[in-house]
Amino acid sequence: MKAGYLWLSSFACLPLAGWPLLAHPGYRTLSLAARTGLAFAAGAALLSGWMTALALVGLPWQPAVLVALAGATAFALRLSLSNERTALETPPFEGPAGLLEKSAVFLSVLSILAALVAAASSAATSADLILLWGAKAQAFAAARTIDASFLRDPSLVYMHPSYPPLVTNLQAFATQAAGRFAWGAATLTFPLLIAVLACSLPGALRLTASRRIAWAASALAVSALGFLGGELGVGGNADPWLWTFEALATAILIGPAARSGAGQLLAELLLAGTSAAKVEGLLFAAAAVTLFLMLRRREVRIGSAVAFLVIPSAVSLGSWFLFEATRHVFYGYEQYGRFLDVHWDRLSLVLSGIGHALWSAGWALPYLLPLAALLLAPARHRLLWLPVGVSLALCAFSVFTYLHGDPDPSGWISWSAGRIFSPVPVLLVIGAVGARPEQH
Amino acid sequence: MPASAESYRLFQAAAAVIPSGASVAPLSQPRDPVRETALHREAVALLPGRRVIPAALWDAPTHQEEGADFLIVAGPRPSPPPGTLLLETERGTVWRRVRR
Repeated sequence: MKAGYLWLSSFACLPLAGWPLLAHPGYRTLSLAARTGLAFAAGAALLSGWMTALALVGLPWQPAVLVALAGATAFALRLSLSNERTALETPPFEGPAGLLEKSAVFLSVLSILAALVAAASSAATSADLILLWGAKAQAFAAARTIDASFLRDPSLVYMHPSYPPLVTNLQAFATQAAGRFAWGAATLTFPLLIAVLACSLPGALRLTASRRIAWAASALAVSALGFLGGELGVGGNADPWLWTFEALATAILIGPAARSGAGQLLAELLLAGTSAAKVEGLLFAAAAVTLFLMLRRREVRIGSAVAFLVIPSAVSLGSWFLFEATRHVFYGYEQYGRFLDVHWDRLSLVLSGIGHALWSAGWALPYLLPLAALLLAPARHRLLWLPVGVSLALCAFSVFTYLHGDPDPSGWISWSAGRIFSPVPVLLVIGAVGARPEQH
Repeated sequence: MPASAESYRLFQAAAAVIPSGASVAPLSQPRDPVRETALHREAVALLPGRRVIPAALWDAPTHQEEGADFLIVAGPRPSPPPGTLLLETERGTVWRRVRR
């Protein structure tokens, strides 16, 4: 039990590591809760990045050193903001919260509690926690680095050695801090990350929309993810990390914050976290940056925006690919069959399988309600195409992937499609916020 | 109780009697390569510090369990006994193999 508390509480180091950046005056328009949540996410991306970098150069992990390195990097990034126009625009002052805002807070708290109950009762435990995430993290913590010999073991190939390293890195960090892997505590990362999102998403969306809209949209996103997480069993796996990075990055990219150096820097760290959390995170980051540059090319300096948004992800993922290649673990990512060997004849089977998977999670309400919010938005500002376009890219990629490999992908779709499509509700909700023109 | 929860408890109990650094193979009783594939995957996670030898991989027997120092048998006690009994629970047994 004590190890479990230690394991989970070690994540308090993440906002500490990210805080030197979020303490910059440029972020002071965000609420304290939002800055803390964003510092958590930024700290996670930085800490994991350093763990991969140290593994690449062959230096062993030490938790205190890792936190110091991540914190120092956040401080260095803060200094890089000093000499330019960095401040986020202050949202207009609003009076005391009304019934709608209070209801949104109540719904978010209820969603966190539901996620906590689901995780604590093991109802939300991911099978992949024992099969791969936890097993890898435990081995890496014991080796105090990314254990290449473990990843190369042919009897362990089911653990997907090419999967990106952020989640196993962070779980290994907690394991080192606690002295052992704590399986129960690992499942609680699901409610923890839902809480991080509930704290930070309202503030991030508040830069774009009125408080009423921002809080209501956040509550819808958080409740959809809380419900889906329990239904799909994500306790201890990578999906909640991916949701957190993706939602916060998108919320910043559609808002006025993305015009400032401070906003772009934050988005860059979140996208780096996204691309290092799961394989599809790379597609998300690529689609989000491409759409951002297309939709906001007149508002930003393209050269600096590309540098801001691409370099951290390239460094983060590049160090992982380099580690894989130099240690003869893998080259790039695993593929499900040959890229151009597409079985179009399975399209109806794949689409019906996906439809069934989405329907089985609450009659698809976690998807349909955000879609309704998007369709009922009173306007159609072009920035809605950033989250909607990313959603379409994720959906197309998933369908394309399912058309490969296994002759009968039904089983594969039934256990994976719900999780693969799970970021879509949040993106639709953020699209509904971005669709409103008055804030742009 | 789901099979994975059963084996989780068996491996947790087995971890107390199998020393760090030892080699161990998880088996099912009766023998079933599909079940033993799943047991191997769980054992890798739940027996850190031990060398887990697969009795089956991808639902096919490997016959590598002969080289293990310890055996964890999920299910009823096997007959004849594969070694010296170290632990018996409702979910299975743990054996130290006797080298001949």
